[in-house]
Amino acid sequence: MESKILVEEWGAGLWLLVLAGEHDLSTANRFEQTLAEIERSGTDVIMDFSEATFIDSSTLRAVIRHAEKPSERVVVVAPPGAPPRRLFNLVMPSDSRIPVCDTREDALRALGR
Amino acid sequence: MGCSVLRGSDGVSGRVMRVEERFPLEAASVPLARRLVEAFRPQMAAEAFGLLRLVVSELVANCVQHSRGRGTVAVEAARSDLHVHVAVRCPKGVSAPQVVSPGSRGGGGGLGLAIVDAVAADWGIGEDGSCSLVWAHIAIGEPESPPGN
Repeated sequence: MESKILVEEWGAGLWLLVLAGEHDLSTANRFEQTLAEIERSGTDVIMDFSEATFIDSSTLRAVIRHAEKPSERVVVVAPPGAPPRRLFNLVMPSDSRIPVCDTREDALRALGR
Repeated sequence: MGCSVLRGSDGVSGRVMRVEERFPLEAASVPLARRLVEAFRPQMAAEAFGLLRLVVSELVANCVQHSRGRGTVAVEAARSDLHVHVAVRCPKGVSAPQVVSPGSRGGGGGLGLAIVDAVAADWGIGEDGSCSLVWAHIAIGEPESPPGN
């Protein structure tokens, strides 16, 4: 299945990344490059996995590395029951640094916006 | 692109029992390896099949990352009554696979095998001649409808 990354600037210092389709080692470089491009503005990032049908540790690593940067805040959107949500729950069951939300509205609230 | 494909059925129901293929040691082989095990989708519970795809993805990615692009990665999956048994072989790498706990951080190194450890019924690391071997057993579960219906 084709993989897509949609990037939208939602406002001052706020970005939305939508990952659709399947994401693994073969797409990780593109994802990391996208994160590096928006990092220059230093910022809050909502990563929406609602349309992702598959992710593995390559994608998770990129999310974790980005969230570990002091200037960046990351919130993940992943619907309950979907494969990405199960993987986030497995890897980050009680991680408050990368909140995992059901919807984009929840993600905005988690960022205090 | 795969080098060869082997498929075996049980000779009665036509149910696929075993698939095997070699892929180049490159990132593009990861989704191809997931496609190889699509043959087991009708035989497994949906969540179990998702775990099979995840494990295959992690094991092939692990080979690609540790073998520096030399040779091929061989992926084999065979079913028994209760499990699909996955074996991934590649040239011995320059660094041994590491495992970290799924909840730990630090850039995520070793995360792939930690995920395999968390979702597989059993798994292990070994050697097969000049190759590294990582294997895992994934529980089949109850498919939503019997194969062929």
